[in-house]
Amino acid sequence: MEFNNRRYGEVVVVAPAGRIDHASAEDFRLRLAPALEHCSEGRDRVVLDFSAVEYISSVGLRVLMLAAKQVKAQKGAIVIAAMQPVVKEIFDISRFNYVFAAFPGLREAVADLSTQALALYDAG
Amino acid sequence: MTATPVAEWAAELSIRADFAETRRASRWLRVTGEARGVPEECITRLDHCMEEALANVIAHGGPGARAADIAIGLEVRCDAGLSAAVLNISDAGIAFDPTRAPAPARPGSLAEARPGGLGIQVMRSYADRIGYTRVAERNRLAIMVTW
Repeated sequence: MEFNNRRYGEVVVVAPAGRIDHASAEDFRLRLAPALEHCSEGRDRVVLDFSAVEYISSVGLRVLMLAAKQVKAQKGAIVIAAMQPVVKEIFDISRFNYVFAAFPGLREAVADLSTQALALYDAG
Repeated sequence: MTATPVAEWAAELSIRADFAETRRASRWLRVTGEARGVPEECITRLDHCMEEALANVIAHGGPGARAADIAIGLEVRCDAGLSAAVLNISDAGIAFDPTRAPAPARPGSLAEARPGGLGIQVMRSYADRIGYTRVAERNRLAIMVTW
């Protein structure tokens, strides 16, 4: 699966594209792992930019759940942004809106995590 | 209109019990559904259900499931102003009736969230009806959406 990751200060934006289904979930997990490893208190914070994710199945939700638990154990911060309606719907059905902090846009997500990162984001 | 699996239905697609095959099934469903006039939103709902049903077979169906193809068919019905699409899936895996599986606990927080059971929840949420029978050592699942 395609990723378009970038960094704004201590905020790392992980941006997968396409379908997160049973065929791609393991790749998604492996590609997400390095960002999670550095996501802890005083280190990186992670935004999952889902603007290019067109579909997610239960196995993708499972990867996200385990990622959130890992980050919480590390006292880090991870949020999700810009979900397409079909993805947001499955989030709501599975009550993942109680598991993950979600923001309608990437800018709001970056702003929630760091004012310094927001300044870098706004500077382009 | 019921989603009880009928005794005979035409298998239109056969796939190996392999995650690499599920996208082929998804593409087939989209093309076939569009050709038969199934609304886009209903195709998406069936796609969610099929992905979870196939994943159950591949991950939990055992050696029997992996040794035989999974058969899939799509049937469109119109009855008294109500239209329905029924996705039929047949597999040779361990007997499993998703209509009788216990409902998973729905998390109210990250601490309460548990992996597992999400697929069944997704299927129940997107399908209008789900039917199941076990015939000739095969599971037969019928997933209905209406419009």
